[in-house]
Amino acid sequence: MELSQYYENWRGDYSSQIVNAEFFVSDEGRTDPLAEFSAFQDLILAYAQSGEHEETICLFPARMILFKQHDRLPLEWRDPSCPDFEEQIRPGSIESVSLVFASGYFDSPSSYYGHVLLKFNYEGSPDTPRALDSSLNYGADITDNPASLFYIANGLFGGYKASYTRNDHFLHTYLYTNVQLRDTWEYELNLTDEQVQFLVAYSWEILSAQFRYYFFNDNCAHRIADLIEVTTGRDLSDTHGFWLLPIQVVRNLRTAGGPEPLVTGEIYNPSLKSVFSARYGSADADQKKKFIEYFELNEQDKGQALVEAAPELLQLFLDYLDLEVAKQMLFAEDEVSIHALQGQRALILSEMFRRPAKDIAARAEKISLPRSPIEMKPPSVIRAGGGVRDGRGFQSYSYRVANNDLLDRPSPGQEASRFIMFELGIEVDGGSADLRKLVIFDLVNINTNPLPSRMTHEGSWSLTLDYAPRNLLCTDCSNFGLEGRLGRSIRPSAQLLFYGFAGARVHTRDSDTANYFQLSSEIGSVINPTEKSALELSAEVYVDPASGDATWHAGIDFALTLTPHAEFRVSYERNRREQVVLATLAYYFD
Amino acid sequence: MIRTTLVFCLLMLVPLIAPDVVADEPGSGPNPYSDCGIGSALFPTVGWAAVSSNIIWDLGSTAITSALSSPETCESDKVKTARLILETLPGLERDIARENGKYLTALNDVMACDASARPGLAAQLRVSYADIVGDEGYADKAQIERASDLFAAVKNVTQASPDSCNVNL
Repeated sequence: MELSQYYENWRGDYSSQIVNAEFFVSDEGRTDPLAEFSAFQDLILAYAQSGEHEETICLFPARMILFKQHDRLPLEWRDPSCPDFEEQIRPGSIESVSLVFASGYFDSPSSYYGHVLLKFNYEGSPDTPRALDSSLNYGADITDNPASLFYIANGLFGGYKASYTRNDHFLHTYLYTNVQLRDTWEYELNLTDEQVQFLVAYSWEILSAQFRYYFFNDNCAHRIADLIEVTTGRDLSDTHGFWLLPIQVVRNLRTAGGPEPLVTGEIYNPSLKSVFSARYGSADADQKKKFIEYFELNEQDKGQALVEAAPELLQLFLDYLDLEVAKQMLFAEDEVSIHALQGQRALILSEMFRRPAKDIAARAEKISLPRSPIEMKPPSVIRAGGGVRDGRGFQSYSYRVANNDLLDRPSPGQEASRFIMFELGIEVDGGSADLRKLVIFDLVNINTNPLPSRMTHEGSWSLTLDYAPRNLLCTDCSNFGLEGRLGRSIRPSAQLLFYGFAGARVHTRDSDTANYFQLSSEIGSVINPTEKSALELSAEVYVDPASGDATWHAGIDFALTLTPHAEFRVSYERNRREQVVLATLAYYFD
Repeated sequence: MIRTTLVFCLLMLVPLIAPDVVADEPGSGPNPYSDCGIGSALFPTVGWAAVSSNIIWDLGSTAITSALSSPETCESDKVKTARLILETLPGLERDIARENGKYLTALNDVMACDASARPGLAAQLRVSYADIVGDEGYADKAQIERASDLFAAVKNVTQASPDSCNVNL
């Protein structure tokens, strides 16, 4: 039943989530588990007696394992010869299986849900990259131009079929880290040899199955978790909602019930961006000065500068250029810029080849492991508290599906961000409860860069669609609107961030605004004095260009993490005439 | 998109007009870069807007392109080697300069090179590829041309030590 993904509907009938009928042995197999079981059993009997149907039986090695385990094979049974499975998969050479988590795309908070896949570790140490390892990916089979609205609609509502695909894992990892600029983490699973072989067999069996893809409730997280769940009997899909995020599956590896931990080890594969950030961050002031000066030299002077450059600077130059090429390939596709970057890269590479190899190799360093995704705070949160607004008390309650705001610790390897998907806020004042806010999405991409602004064209941006007030001070001032901003952020140290934004909001009218359009700007700072605390100072201005009216407020927010699931916050806001203070307790959960 | 498509077409033509550094030899199978569609796997015609959409709604469809365009011989280890060189070229170039690193290890693994032979092969490959990098025209070459050059260098080095690797290019 589990292998063929059957589920029972509300009428008590069975149907498989596998949508292609040809996957099944029986013509009725998709909707009749018993017919499928009987048909497969008939094949086994026929094969045992006459050797027929060997090719079909070889498509289902996991079923074969279960038949063996339950003594359902006839006495005259002999194992079929399955050359495709044996030669392509080489199951006997697979020692272990890892769950791989790929972080979101480079500087895109909305993709911070990430992605998960399986990796099959062939003979050798799991600490060394092996070109022969393979991976199993689950994704939608895209038939539309991904730039179209159909792509989003079909991705959300099951318009695409989806399937598992096998990949060369080494190249697959390279695609994530060096092309898409995403960090990856590998979690080796604590499986018995029998479980490894079963998972390998099931992964082969399921390759020919097709499913419907639903971005929220039948995605890579569901399907990859399902393979592990069928193999181990442990629950990796624990979530309070109808959705399942990849990061939840990773977190569930630690909490999934069982006698032993499900994870035995972790390997971090940094992206090009993480490699450059780490190496640049560890460079001393003199190296950083030389690095910046080099890229401001004219072409003639660069040659001489390279001859004099320390080996670690050559590495840093190459890191930077490889990163810039990847960004151009990923976003801009500016062939002229790519060619110019390749020219600069050739100069550096030529200098590296001119020197003895030992001079270059001796400076290769490891990038340290950042905080593991497995330790991340759960994505959903409920918050309750009370406040005082101009001497009048009120209560505040909110629920957020996902994922984080500027006071939450960022995802590993990522800059601070705000990435809120669906948040509901209610305020109770006296005997009445009012809908205070309903956030559809609220994205703030801080996107700092350690390099001076003259070396980078990247900036910060935000995009929000919500029904919400502009601050805590006002009452009955929520409006529905779309707001976009551009800005710039700098991070002088790991504990200190400054940001500034300017933009506009198109919205419905409310008690405070007479028109449908406002200009907005905000400056602020986030300070992380300790691992468990964060302080945000901000000031925000909204201007109605038609009337010239301006409203402003300044605020302080302080967050203290009490446990991995609990947080205390206090917020204070004021303007010229009013002030408000609000204290809340939050509970984070999957 | 038009510009991307033109660039893609030009890249696909490169192996046809470039010096025949990996030309077919009798019994050596197809040229992996011109006959097996590896170039099209690396340079799909996806515009930045499409990439941006996928960034927002990542449907997991980032599997590397595996649909190579041709004969069964394109599943050979020779083609796997060619593909590894093409797709990880920037990392591999750096590793060759250092004579170590995970990309160089991967190349040795795919070619099933003997552990004891690897340091010597790395040193010879460095010497051979240094000439290519030092060439004036190197900076103007497309990635697929540089990959072809490196493939030829690997081929020459391993053929000079015939017992060092199990995979013959």
